Amino acid sequence: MRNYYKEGPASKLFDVFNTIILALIVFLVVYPLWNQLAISFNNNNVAASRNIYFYPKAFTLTNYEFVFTNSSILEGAKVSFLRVIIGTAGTLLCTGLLAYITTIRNFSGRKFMRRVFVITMYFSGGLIPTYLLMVQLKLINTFWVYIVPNLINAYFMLLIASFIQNIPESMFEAARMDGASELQIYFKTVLPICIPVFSAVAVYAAVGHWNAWFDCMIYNADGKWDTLQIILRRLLLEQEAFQKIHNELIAASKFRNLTSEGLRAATTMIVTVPILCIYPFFQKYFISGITIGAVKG
Amino acid sequence: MLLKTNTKKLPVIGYVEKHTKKKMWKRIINERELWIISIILLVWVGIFAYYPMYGVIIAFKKYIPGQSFSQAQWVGLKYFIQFFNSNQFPLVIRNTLAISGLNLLFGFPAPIILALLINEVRRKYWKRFVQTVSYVPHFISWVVVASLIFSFLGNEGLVNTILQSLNITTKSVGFLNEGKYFWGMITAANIWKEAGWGSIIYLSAIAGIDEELYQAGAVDGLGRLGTVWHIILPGISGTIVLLWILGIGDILNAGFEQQLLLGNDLTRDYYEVIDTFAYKYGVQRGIYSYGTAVSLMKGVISVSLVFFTNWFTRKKLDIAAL
Amino acid sequence: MEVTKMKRILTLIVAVLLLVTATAGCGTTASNNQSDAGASSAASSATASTPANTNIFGWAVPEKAMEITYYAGQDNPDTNAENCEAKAAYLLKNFNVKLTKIVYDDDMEQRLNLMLSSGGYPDCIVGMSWQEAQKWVDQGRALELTSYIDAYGSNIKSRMGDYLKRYYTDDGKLYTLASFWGLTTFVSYAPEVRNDWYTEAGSPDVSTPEAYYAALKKMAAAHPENSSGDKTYALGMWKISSSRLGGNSFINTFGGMYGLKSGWKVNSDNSVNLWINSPEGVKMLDYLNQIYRDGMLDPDSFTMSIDEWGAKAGNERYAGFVGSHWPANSYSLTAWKNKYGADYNENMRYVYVDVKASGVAQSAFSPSNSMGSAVILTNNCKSPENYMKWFDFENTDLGSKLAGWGIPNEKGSVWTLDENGKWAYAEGVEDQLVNNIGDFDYDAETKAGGECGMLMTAGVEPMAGGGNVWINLGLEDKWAQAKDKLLKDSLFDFTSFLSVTIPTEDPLSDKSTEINDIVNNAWAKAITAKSTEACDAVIAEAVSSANSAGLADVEKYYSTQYQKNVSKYGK
Repeated sequence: MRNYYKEGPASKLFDVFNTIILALIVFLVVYPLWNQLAISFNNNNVAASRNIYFYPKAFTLTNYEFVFTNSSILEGAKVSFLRVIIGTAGTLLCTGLLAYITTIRNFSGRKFMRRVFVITMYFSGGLIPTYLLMVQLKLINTFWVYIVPNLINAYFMLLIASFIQNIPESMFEAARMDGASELQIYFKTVLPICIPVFSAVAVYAAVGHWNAWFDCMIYNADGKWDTLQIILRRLLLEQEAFQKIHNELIAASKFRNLTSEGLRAATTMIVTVPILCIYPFFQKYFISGITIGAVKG
Repeated sequence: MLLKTNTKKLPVIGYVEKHTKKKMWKRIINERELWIISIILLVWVGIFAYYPMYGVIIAFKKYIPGQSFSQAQWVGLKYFIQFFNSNQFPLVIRNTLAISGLNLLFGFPAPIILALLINEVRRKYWKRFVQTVSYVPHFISWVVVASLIFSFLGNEGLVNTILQSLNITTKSVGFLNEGKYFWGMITAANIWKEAGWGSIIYLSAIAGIDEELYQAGAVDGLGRLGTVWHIILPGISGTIVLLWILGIGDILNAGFEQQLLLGNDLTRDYYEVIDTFAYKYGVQRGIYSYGTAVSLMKGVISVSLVFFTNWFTRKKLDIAAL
Repeated sequence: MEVTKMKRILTLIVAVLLLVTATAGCGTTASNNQSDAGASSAASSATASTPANTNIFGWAVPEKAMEITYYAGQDNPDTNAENCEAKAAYLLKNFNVKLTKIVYDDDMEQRLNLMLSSGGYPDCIVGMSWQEAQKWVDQGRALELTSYIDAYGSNIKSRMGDYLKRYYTDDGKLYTLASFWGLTTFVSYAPEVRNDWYTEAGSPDVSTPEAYYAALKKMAAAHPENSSGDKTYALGMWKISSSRLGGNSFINTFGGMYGLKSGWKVNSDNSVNLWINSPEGVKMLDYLNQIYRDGMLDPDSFTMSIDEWGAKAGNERYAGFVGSHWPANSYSLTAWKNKYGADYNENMRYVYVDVKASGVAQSAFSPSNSMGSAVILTNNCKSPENYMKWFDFENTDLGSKLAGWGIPNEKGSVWTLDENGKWAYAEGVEDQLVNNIGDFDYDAETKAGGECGMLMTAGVEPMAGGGNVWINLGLEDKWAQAKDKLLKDSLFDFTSFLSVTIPTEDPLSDKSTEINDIVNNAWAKAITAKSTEACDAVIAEAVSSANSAGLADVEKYYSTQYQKNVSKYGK
């Protein structure tokens, strides 16, 4: 955006003020994580973690060593990773297909299909019937309980459909004239055009899958398919961290200098850093996807 | 939610009725491929979404875990009345409305202000940096956020350490233990987590404002503030109004995970919202009928709100949200 | 251009995905093979010793592997699998018993309700509250055990004696058994002081709550901060959410100073009132409120977990403690020994004191007997006789040792057993338990299966030979002996009350849930109130909302049932 207005001294002053405010916001976002990073590298028995502000006072790697060797965090990360990839891919393909058929103008069932799914946004049967269903379908204690019930999401359907509706109908008509089936059109024409909206939805879906823990607790309580978040919950909030140290203290004096603050900080870092590394690469895509509705609003 | 203004694009209602039965069959046969796909999708939605809905009948029955739903004894509106009469009812409603109200009041303008501030940045790299950083918290789960909050605001957390070392307080401030801080804390946490992410939509709305408007404004002698006030804000007002109305439709969704993770016995009078209440009785305590009744009530009110706002926006503002 | 870039990213993702699934696939096949191999070798060793014989434990080894599968509540499944591995292998080899302990990492009450709704549950469930067990019995989900105990339960019968009668229904049927039942002579709940600080302060009077608090204050004042500069408190608690009406171990122990029993006031006519609805309960809350307002009660008392409390206790943050003994000792002793090394002296420990309010004849800290927790066989169980045989075995001397101490004769075992069935403590164990309690390796005991395979354990009452599922029970150090002597009279028999349950169909069961929430909430709120008046106002408000939720009916029900039980079994 170019500036067309006239610059005054107030405007210059505002620039200074604005820089300070935004720097403060950046600080507020970054500092909590930075502080945890410092604590995670600090030997908290030598220097109490409450006095760590910006950098570790007594450097150590034992917190990380302990978390990696003494928890199922890597196992959990593997499950979560699989879940995000398979779950997101599944959701995109199925929801995208649904969104596409609800936009085919000549299809007599389009409005019906759309309504059937929109209703599910507001009503659900509640936990018990859903649990019973999962039992009947033998999805309990399987990985697929994360995937199959989440294949279609009505909200994503609306989002994708709004994008497809703005594509000129002629593109699909041309394909139909050539004798392409609807599935072929979906895979060959719709998918490539819809990449912006798909990447936006992918971010939504992936974040949802990555952060989910409730279904894991209810459906996969036997621990075989523990996701990262459920392990995190145990480590961070139910204080298993300390219990672990307590047991280990007796067995191995190597980890004698651990505290739960240090372990919690290390755990926080281990799960946060990968996300911080990945998401900037997708930034452009999800921004363009989210923009779709807004600009026309 | 789908944001679209062009209502003319909506499908023609009653298309099927115009045709005779024979023609309809012919049409369905012509569309067989689409119908096969539809049927597969309908089977999925039937199994995973509609089939479990029979479970809402237990809101009107006294269901004891282990019985089949049909065995359970009918009790009519007993559980609804029990909720209305319970001493928790006023608290739960108050907290739900207060937390989502505060979210609308402060959490709603936060991304708008952030977007306006970011938009005014001149240096391109600083702008990109601020944007990128501001999205970070959106990707951090509530579990981790809660852990961060505990280590910062706990009785021996960073904030209390600083307050005490600066001699501002002598006793630690119970940010997490006193109900009066809870609403503020959860609102702040919501803003911290979502303001950056929310600003994306406004930034792109700003980007969509016609360049000519700025030129015209400059001709009219608008300064920097004037540009924001007379050009940018009106330019994104459509988006603002729309999201505001959608937010009102969501007023009973005051959060769930946040409360479960951050609340405790001492702050219960301030954190308990409809969803956590339904979870506590419906799932943890095993009084499924009670929990279902509470959820059902909430669902009905929410849907009415959504349909009302949808009707309102379509009629009055010519914007369709659904 | 964007499209090609996106495609590249997608290709990358797919490649990684394939890699991960491939490795995951390898992982599972490998482990499958392993377990297959394990099973077949175990099977062959079993066939080698086929002739039905009796092993050194006195267990008649069955021809066909006997499956014992049970759900034992909330725990970390990974840790559980680790802890059960050695024991399960040992049992399969020597007993031809296939033991599977199931735990889930979510709330037991929540999980039991899900199990009931879906019908998916194992043969046996242990560790249930009596209220939960009642729900299963009411719905015909628990097998009747009357004939099985007659046929296979001779050890159980002789061991439990008259006590067993309490588990029968009014019409003489048996559905539930119990683990950890029985009479105890040891005290597990009481007020404590940190002994070295206490003697340093001149061993002041602690006989009343006020004097006890004054002493703690004096001790904390002498040590206002620990070595890392953290503030020291008189007392601290951790968060307990109890689903049973009548409170948690803190309410019970503080209440014990005022003569309340397990959170209930028992009137002279054997009617009962919930603690909050009694003058004693109000006094107790006012007392705690005072400590809180003085800044001497850790403000995290209502939010922290037991482990966080343990971390602080280990960091020397508390002058005293009120509640159950084992956490106080297991957290602090180990930490202090580690910290002080050679400078550690045996007075650095929490020791019990007797505290009672004026006008209270006898403090009442620990129930001297226990109904234990309920054990049921579910209607999914196809061979109840096998389970009963196993229960019966657990009630023999060697059986209870195997259940509670873990397997003998291996690396890390805490006991040994020779071919003649003669047992002994492993080397050094006796000394650790009597003289150096902090050195005992609980971790090794756990790894040897000390927490796995206690289904219907032998209760807390010692065997004729003094043995018990708890390894340290027959071998107490002098501190424990002194404690039991000092507080002998604070033990009280309350079985007739603790066994009262409300039938599931009864509307009172929902009411008591609601009342329990109100009361638990009030406990924290009253103690943290700004003044005594505010504290009393919180109590008054809680009582009135509890009353409108039906407190009077619930109290009446408990009173009637208690009176009935008292006339049946005595107090």
